[in-house]
Amino acid sequence: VSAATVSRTEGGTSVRHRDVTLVELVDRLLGAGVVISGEITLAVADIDLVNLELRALIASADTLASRSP
Amino acid sequence: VIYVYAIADRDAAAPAGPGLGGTLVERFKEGRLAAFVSHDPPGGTQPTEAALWQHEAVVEELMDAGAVLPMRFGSVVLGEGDLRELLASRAADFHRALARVRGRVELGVRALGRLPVPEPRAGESDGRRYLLDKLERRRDAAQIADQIHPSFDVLSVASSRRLLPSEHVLFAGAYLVEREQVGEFERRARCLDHERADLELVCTGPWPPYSFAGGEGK
Repeated sequence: VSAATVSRTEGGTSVRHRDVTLVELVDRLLGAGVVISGEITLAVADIDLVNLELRALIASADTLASRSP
Repeated sequence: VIYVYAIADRDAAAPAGPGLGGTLVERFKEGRLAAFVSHDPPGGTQPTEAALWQHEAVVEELMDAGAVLPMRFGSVVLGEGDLRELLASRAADFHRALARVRGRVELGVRALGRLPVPEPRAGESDGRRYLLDKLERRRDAAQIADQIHPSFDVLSVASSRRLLPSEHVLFAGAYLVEREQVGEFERRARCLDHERADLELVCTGPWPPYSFAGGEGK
């Protein structure tokens, strides 16, 4: 996947955008896709998912806060 | 176990790149379908960041060559009999889904921002205040989604949206888009991002059609 659109905020954008991309990846691979019912699907580490979301979102909150007038 | 990355047309070429844990990715044919698999990936199916990207790389290579239905990460079957059974018993669904995603890719949009801080509510109990605030946040997020989502929805053949998937994400949308429309979609995302000082819109993709591989969508 390529980063399609980059946010307009200057500085630290690439790191943040990578975080959002990672959250989108996790969302899709662990929350969507074809599911094999009745078979062993891994017990997904929900905690990892939550941590990833948090990491990206703390970054986004910081960016927005620094931008506020 | 046999780890399954994706389902595609019978004659789709197996990806040249490595699978999980450096394994070979093989094609397993059944009827007019093929599953793309690795046998006994070392390290199992722990969802580490590297493993997720490895799964993604295999599916993306398939996506570049044709229509593909990505499996959820961690999908395994015990043997070839189960794999054959999976492909045969759900063949009609898989064919329908392949037809739906052919020539199309998935794009994601996330709207990041902060909702207004709720007015203090005098005289309400904590529990009631919590619920009212939550309701208000949801209503505010829905309002923003209503302003943003339609601009992308019209460029897509199917879409889904979620409100407040996490604290500072007001909404997350997934869009199934014709390949030729990807440029226009990205331009629109950039424009809207510039127009909205209160939000940050991040568009990601093109992704394999994870969100449209099953039966959901509009």
